[in-house]
Order: sequence, then structure tokens, then C-alpha cells
Amino acid sequence: MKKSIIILICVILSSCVEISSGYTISQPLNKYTPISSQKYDVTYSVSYFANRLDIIGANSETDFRVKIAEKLKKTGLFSKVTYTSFENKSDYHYHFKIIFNAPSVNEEMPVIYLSGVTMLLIPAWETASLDFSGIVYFKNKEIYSSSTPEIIKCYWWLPLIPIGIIWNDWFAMQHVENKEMNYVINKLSDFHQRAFINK
Amino acid sequence: MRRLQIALQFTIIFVSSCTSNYYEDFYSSYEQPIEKCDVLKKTSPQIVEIEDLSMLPEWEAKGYCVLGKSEFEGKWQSRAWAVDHAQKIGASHILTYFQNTYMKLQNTPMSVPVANTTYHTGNIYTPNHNISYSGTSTSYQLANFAVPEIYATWKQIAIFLTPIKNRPAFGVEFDEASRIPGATDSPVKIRLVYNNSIAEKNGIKIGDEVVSINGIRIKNHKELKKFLSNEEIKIIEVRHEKKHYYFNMCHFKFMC
Repeated sequence: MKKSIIILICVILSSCVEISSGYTISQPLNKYTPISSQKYDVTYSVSYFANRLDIIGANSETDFRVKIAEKLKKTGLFSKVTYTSFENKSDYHYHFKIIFNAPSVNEEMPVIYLSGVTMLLIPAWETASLDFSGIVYFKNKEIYSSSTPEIIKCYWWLPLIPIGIIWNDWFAMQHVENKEMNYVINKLSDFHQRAFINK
Repeated sequence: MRRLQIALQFTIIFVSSCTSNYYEDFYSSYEQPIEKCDVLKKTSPQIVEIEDLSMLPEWEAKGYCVLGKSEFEGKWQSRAWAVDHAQKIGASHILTYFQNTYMKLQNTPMSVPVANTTYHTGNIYTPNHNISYSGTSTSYQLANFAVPEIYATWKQIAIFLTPIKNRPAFGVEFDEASRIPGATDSPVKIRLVYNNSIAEKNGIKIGDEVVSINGIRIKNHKELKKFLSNEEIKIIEVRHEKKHYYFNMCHFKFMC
């Protein structure tokens, strides 16, 4: 409770309004209902690269593992979803590659300095990005892949402070991560449906 | 004058900090002569992650030609810029892969000035007076701390593909049947819609599912292949891909 209140205060005081640039269309997760004999076991692995470990709302590799497993199960296509390392992949394997890139501390300092000294009167911004890819391996051979990028812009500007209460770091990151996961898993599910399941 | 100078300084800091994030060493790229390539002006390019360049001939065999190649290295970069570039040059697909990945966790040292305030009290004794005094003095010193960051270098390569100039009359191309052993045949989908074609003018989009052609129901790739060997496309009926939960599945009929 205390931790969440501190995070909330930090988020509001940061006055940063985060807006995603719309490279990825927001969409719900597709659900399928194949008969049980058409369900397959799948293993998956996650490679997560992030240059900053202190971004509020950014998922860790463990969070991604859990969320991806939940979403794969929700598609209804698989009888069993198991996490494994990439080296120990099964005959039917999904590998997810996630790259999160926030500005480094040295890049960030002039922007923060500027907005601080001018009391947020001059609009300043910085840009982060999240690339999410899913690759399908069948018998150790790559047979399909889908990837989607997203740019997240963080604005510091006085008139935008009220919006920042809602469109803050945590909310924007969760929104972007969720829509990218949905997009890629929908693409993989669609491929799985076309390739393996008789409609 | 002083104010103007300060404003100018801020503007320089602002512009340099906000524009230096990505553009400075973005792409070193080359673009091919495009006589044999079909440049698509309106594209929503698809990103395909490949393992290495050995997969490129497979794509060329599918009827694509390389419109350009870009590579960037040394910094973290998003593929969003590759998407922008693909839209600019009119590519339909982007093949990407990584080379020479190197990562290391490091602590970036930072320091901020911290005020150190001390409170003084005391007495001054003279033969006739006894004076008490009190006050504060502030000095500043640098407090050092470290921010954990991951230093990474890699080369990311993007190859921009577009179909070879050989437009079908109706302006659509269909996706391929699955080549996975044991896989069942699936409904036919639209893989590509050409600019200024009959299909584009009538609103057919990439990902639409083919229902019938010239009034004959097409259930899978086998039926499509049989049909195309005998007849030309005159009427095509498609079912739009369901993209948003608030859109219903709908049918449209188009005539040429």
C-alpha cells in the first residue's frame, strides 16, 4: 500500500505525459474454440533486452513470461503452454524477443534540466521504444515470424500536467505492452489456425 | 539582451537534447534502382524477423525484389524507424536480423549538488559586554550515486522488399498454401493489394478472406489453383478481416 502511494506521488510529480505513437493498432486477443484433438502442446521462451531498469510501469522479463503464458492459454488453441529456455525448445516453439529502449541517463539529463529550470513552461520531450517480436519454430526451423514496434513519447509541459495523472508512465507502458502482445499473439494464432487446424 | 542570451542557450540545449536521441546515427542505407521493383505508395509494411541472410533467396523466389537495405549499429534503435523508411520508399516487407550483439550491465555515475546547512551559536565575551549570537551557513557539496544501465552494441539490419513488377490485372495477390508437412489446407487470404488497382479502388484490403471468385465458392488454395488455371478473375467476393471488437463480420461484393 505504502509503495503504491509513493509510486503514485512520484508519477504525478514527474509531470510526464506519455503518449504512444500508434504504430501498433490496439486490438483484443482473438479466441478460438478448436476441438480437443486439434489442440497442440507449445513451448515458449522470452528474450528481454532493456537498457534501463528503473522505468515505472515497464514489465520485467518475469512479468512478460507470465503475461505471455496467460495470453497463449486464453487463445484456446493449445492444450499445454510451457516455458522453456530457447536452447531446450520443443518441436513446436514460440520465441518472443522484446527490446525496450529508453533514453540513457546522459541523454535524459538535458531535457529534465531544461524542463526543471523553465518550470515546465517550454515543452520538452524524450522518446522510448518497445519492439515486440514472435518467432515460430517447427522442428528447429523458423517457419513464421511477426514483429511490431511502438514509440512512446514522454512530454514535460505545464498545460499537460492534468493529462499526466491518467496518461502517466505506468498506464502508458502497460497499454503499449498489452497491445503489442495482443498484436503478435494474434498474428501467431492466426498462422497456427491456418497452418495446423482445419477450419 | 541578457534574457535573450539565456533564451538562446535554452533553445540550443532543448533542440540538441530532443533531436539527438535517434537521428544522429540512424541509417546508413542504400537503395537499389527500382526499374524491376514495384514501389507501393501506400503500405503498411510487415516486419519479418529472419535468422540471417540465407533466407533472402527464399523471399526473392516468392516474387520479391530488394528495394533497399539499411543498417544501424552502436545504439539501441527501434524498428519504428524502419517502418517509416519502408513507407517512404514504398516497401511492403521488412526483413530484419541482429548481428554482433554485446551487452553489459554498468552503473553510470551521476552527481547532484546537495545543500549542507549548519547552525551556529556562540558567545562573545568582552570586559563590558557578553554578546550571544546565532545563525546558519550553507555550503554545497556533490552527492554521488549511480544509475544502473545496460550498455549494448549491436548491428541491426533491415532489408526492404517489394513485389517484382508483374501486376495481376485485378490488382491482388493471394497468400500461399501452408508448406508444413501434415498441415491442412486453409482459406485463401489476400496477401497484397496494388496501388491504383481495381481491387484498391473497391476497398479490398490485405488480410481479407476470399469467399468466391466469379461466383464460384473458393474454400482453399487447392480450389484456387484449379480455378486460376482455367479462368480470369472478374468478380471477387471477400470477407474483411475482423480487426476490432466493435466491428462485425461483413460481406462485400465487388465487380470489375
